[in-house]
Amino acid sequence: MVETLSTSVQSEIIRFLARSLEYPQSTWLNHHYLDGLSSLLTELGYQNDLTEILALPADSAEALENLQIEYTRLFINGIPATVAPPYGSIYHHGEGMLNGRSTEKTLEYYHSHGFDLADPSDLADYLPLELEFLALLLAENKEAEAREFYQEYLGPWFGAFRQRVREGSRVPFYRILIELIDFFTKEEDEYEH
Amino acid sequence: MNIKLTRRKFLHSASVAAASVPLARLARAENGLVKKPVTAPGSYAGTETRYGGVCEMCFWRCQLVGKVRNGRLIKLEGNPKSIENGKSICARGNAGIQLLYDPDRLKYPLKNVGERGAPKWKRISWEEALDETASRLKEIQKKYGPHAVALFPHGASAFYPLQYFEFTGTPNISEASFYQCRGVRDMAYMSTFGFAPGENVDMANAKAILLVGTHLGENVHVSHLKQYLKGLENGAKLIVLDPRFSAAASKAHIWVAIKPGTDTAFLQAVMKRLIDTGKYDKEFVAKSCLGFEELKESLAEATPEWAAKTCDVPKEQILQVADLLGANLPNVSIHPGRHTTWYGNDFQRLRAQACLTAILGAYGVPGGLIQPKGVKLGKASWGHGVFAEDCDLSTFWPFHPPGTPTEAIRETTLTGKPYPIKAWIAWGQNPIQTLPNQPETIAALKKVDFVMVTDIMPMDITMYADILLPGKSYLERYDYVKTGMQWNPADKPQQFVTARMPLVEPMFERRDSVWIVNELAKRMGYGDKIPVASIEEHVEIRLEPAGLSIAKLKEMEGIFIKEGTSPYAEAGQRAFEFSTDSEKVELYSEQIDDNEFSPVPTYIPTGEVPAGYARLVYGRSPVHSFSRTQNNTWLHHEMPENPVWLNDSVAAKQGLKDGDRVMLINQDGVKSRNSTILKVTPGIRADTVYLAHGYGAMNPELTVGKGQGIDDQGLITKFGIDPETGATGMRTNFVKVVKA
Amino acid sequence: MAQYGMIIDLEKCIGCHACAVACKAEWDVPTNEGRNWVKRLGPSQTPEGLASTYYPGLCNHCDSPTCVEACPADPVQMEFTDRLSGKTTIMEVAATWKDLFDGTVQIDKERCLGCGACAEACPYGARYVNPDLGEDGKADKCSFCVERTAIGLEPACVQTCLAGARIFGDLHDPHSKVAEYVKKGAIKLESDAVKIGPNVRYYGKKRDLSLLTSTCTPQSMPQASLRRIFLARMLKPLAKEAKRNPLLHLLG
Repeated sequence: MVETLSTSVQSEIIRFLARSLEYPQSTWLNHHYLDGLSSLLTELGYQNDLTEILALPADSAEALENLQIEYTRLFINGIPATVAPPYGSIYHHGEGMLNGRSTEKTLEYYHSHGFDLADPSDLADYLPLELEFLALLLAENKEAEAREFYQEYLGPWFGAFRQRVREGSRVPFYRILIELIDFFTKEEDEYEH
Repeated sequence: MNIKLTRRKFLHSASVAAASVPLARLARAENGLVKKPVTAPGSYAGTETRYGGVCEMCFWRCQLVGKVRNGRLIKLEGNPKSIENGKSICARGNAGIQLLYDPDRLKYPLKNVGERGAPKWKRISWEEALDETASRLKEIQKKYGPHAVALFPHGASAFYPLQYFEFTGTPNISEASFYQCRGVRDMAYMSTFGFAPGENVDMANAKAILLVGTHLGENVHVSHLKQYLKGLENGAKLIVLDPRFSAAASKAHIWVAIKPGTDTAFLQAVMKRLIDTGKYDKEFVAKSCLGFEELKESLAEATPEWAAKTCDVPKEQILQVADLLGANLPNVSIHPGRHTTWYGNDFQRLRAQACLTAILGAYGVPGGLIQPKGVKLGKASWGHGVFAEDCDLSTFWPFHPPGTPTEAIRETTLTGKPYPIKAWIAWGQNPIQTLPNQPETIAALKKVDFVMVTDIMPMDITMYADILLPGKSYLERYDYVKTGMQWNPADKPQQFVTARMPLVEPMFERRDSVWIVNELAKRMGYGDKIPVASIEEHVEIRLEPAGLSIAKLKEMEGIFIKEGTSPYAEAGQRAFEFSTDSEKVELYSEQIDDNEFSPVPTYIPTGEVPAGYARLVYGRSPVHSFSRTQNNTWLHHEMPENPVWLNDSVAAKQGLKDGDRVMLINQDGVKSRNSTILKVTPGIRADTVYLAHGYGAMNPELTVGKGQGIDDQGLITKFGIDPETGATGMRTNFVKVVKA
Repeated sequence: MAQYGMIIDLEKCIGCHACAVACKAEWDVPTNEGRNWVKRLGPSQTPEGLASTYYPGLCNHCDSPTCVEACPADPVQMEFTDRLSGKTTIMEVAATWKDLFDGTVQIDKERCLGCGACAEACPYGARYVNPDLGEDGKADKCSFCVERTAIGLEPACVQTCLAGARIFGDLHDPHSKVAEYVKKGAIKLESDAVKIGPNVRYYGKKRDLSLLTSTCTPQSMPQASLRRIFLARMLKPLAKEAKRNPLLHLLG
């Protein structure tokens, strides 16, 4: 019972984090969202930097725009280079392209677990999609599959992505977000050592 | 950030269960994933073949098929049904996948919230991008007139925007493909033969082929090279005029290491020799040409001795070339060339090539200049624009190709004379690397009130955009309808029609040009004049007269083929009607005379190489299409840099060795931004330095191509303007090679 | 018994690199590697005059492949089938071998250790290790597209070549186009030190062949490191263990 509860909570949190990686818009990046994020951080005992997060753009159009510019720079088209495109195939040796062989393998994995992309032009290894998939597995209490998916698909590139966001982000929001994603997706035993 | 809890402990704590309830609501209501039944694996490698692709890695437009698996384009191949390229495509064609999936590609509309040249991008919605672009353009049109908007289009995606902006009343449209490439050739042949020649010389069935600077092999267009190689296989004698031992020269029977800029003198001497020895097509000249006597007279001084001295080649070689051509007339290919804007005196050189073609009678015969016939297609357009009086800057150049000479637009932008130009729009063109004297281009871009760019990739030009719009690539859109004939004119006559159809779905928010233009038009007050609702409709209208439709073409594996007519005239026919004023081939042109230019081809010398320098000559790499493909990671891997070719004796004197890292400095002291590798070779003249164009991009967003190799355009600070056509001559600069 | 081979006709080749790029797409070859390649040579002086040509290179599927000898993987029994007669034979092979019936050199990616000994042993540099394949990377190289030819397709490089400069076929069949080229004088890139019977041959003008052979013929056999092969075989299980156990890694 407890296990079921914890995987479903984990699943919900991961879905919440997946949404947090969307382009910042006032439609979702509002007080409710920030309350949710702050309660999550508080529960984690992470009050120290809460003030940084709360300086986020719920009210100020300028703050929202700054976050949009940062998002564009980090994830879409940045100067001098896009800091961390949120697509797995970018991080694989010899691929460096969108929709690489590893993207295809990810899609095949979704297929083998009975899922497909709602929009066929989406890329299977887009980080929010991989997170949503992970959340779906956890929601169905498929912990072994979730572990496998992390080990074989998400994990191998997430580290490099996280590193780039950590080093390249100019706002705390994405740095913190990436740590949260890491915390809620990574294989547990590494934290227990 | 340092999380002290373990996740398990955290997730098990009761409080978080309560706290996480709102999180569930805050996640998206729907997942990006849906349940799907497991399907059985497909056939061999599980790919599906999709038809209807038309390549646009360059502008030859080979027909493609796409191998698609799981919605991912795995591989591009030539469409086996094609009667042009067949199953073959070139390196660029094969690498189209890397353009499609290039992570640096533009994905969403972007707004520059920084400065032009040092942009800071913010993703915006299409709504916002279109609203802002339309209101800025409207404002400029209202205040300064419609001609205050200048457009730099290129490629199939730009035809509809070109029509639209012309319709709104601006003549200030300049295509690099004309003014920095083929326009001068087309105009010279129009004045002579009455039609634009394309590269339609029947090399496959020629007995002799003359290439003037054209470096086939380094310049790759599939069906064209099939013709060239077929000709060589059939025993055609190849003559190559080039200061460099080019890919073509290495296959040539005669390599003429001509001094750059003197080709017209060489051609004159060849014509004189042919006429003096009676080795010209007397019947064709008598029946189909006008002004032979004037031509002959104009060549009085063009002796082999004079040309040998002028061109710095052995006299015997001139005679040898002339005699070889004469011995094989009329089955000779005098190749019209492609990139022909060299010195700002190019109209005369291309007139000389056209006249040489004519006196050899090399028209409408196997091996000669031919006019392929395609299938008639429909039209849907914005209609012609009405320009305000006196706003057409092009009239100064009576033989200018369509549009306005680029230099006129740039100068007017900078000086505000005779009127202000306040908006620049680039649509698939990269004026930073197509135009000489980059500082002036950049100054113009910084001066105007508004810059909008639509492209597929970040380019040097996109750094200057206020609004930057992401286009669909050629693999994701409908647009171009192509018609033509079988690649070998001697084969059974056939005609084909094909339309570009998407091979995969577009990703992100990339849009096609018809959609973008229509949305702009609605916002600029031209909504009621929109000629087609979508690109698909445009294609349908084009196909209709041929009895075709997109659906029908799909059933035909992308290509419709029917019986055609031979491009050759009936054997023995030597009298033809041409679309010139006189209906003859005009060796002497009254029209040119009326405009106070030399009515017979004339050699106009270009500046001499100053001591200590060599002339900078650029050309093509087989793996790149100008600056467009610099970021393609597969193509980049094939040739990561453009080696600088330097004559071995010159290198020895300067203490330079093959493989050294070098930079170039031009006559104005401008140094190349980057270094590249040195190729020391006996295969180039001592007064010439060569490198391939299309390297050394400035835009850091090109994570593969930026700063790789030397950008020749950065060194072209001096340029010529062809007085007849307004085309930009760019082989007018001199450089020193220095160690990096 | 067949011996598949390829002729590169340098009279036709125009150095466009389509072969190299088509192969990348066909076989998911990492950007910075190549199962085949094109190198531009010259312009340089040769005894026959000024020349400029290309070196389109690929695995030579040699008669005596040194790469096969170098493979340290445990041998297994493998059944070979003749495509033409259907005849089968069993042979003991390591993770790379020369096919008994078609003469091609192939790799079993499942059993390949990724040690790179074969790549080191090839005097033509035709092999590389693709680190993305499997856990520890796998050796990869041109397979003569046997997977494609088995279902009636041409090798990817041959299919895309606009010049018809790449000719694939059975060198042992005297009526094949490739055999005709051999009769016409197509050459192998062999030196006194490197004579392992390459089955890719080059045809062209004398001056071009002169430039090709003087610049691209391997002049020495690479010294396949016995120590490396031994280590690869012995340490493989240990290396895998080290990956899982960070402590062991530290000890190493």
